[in-house]
Amino acid sequence: MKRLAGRPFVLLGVNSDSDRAEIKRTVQQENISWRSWWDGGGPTGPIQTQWQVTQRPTIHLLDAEGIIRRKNIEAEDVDAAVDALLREIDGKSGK
Amino acid sequence: MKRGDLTWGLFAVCFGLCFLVPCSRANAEDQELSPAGVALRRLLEEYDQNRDPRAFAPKFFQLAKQHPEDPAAVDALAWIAANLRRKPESIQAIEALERGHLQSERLAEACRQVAGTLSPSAERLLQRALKESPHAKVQSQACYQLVGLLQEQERLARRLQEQPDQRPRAQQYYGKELTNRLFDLDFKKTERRKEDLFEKMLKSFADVPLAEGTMGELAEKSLFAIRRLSVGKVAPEIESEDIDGNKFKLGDYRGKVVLLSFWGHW
Repeated sequence: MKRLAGRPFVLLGVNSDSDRAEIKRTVQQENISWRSWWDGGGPTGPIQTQWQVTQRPTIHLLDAEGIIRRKNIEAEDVDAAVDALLREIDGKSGK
Repeated sequence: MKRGDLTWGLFAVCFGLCFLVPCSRANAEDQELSPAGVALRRLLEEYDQNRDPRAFAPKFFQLAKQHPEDPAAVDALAWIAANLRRKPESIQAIEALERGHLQSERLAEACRQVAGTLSPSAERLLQRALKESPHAKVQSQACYQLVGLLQEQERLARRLQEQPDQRPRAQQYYGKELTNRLFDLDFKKTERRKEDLFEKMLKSFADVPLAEGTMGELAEKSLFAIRRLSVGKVAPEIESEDIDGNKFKLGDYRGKVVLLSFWGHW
């Protein structure tokens, strides 16, 4: 994600782990720099329920207008898909 | 609400297992079998020893022909449809069900096996059964199985349409009729069809029980997913605390491309 520094892109997480202290340890150890909501611990939290997420990891991609553009995207497809959406923003601002 | 072990969306287990396990047993009751029922059971036992579906198809067809009013005829034709998937016999059997058994109450049990073939002929049969059957049980099963069929077609079509060079291989595996269907599948149209079916499900079959919950509950979740969670829709707002207890919103990030990642163990 370093190559996207300075670009209008953000990674946000929804975390299902039950032990908040444990999550913080993970975040420190793995150098996780992105922000996550804590969904109450466990797989039945309100965010996961609303989004009908049943397995992890699940990754969705939203554009700059908040519109869902890709669902259940595979890790190997992420770079190309994010680049395409960033180009859309460039296109709109006339770059 | 628990959703169990879904693998691709809402119905993977509910439908996936049903679709992928070929049925070699008809649903014949143990008590008081009719002559046709007895004959069917015998056929199934013979088949178990032999296991060549193609060799047995004519015998099942014949049984259906000889006992057109008996539920065993429906079972026999459903057996052919399920066990000779991707072969012409499967389509013939489904067409025979459409021609001669739309009014049968037994069709309820056949819906699952028919849907499992994913074929356009299966679609037609289920659509007609939903519309024309006098039996509520048949209607509800046809509705439920049809929506699952469409879901599975969508999943396969997404993969195939991204790889048009795979068409010859797909044709070998799925047969011509289904392959063409998958390559021609219009996702917007399919989504609308599913929406209509779920609305029907909510309106007319809400109390029918499923393995998990009721058809009504499934329909509500599915309609929410189609209307609020599908590609092209504005993402529902998320407003909650982060790991440190500070509140923040998804809406704070408008203007940025967002990769939303659901992670963690339990």
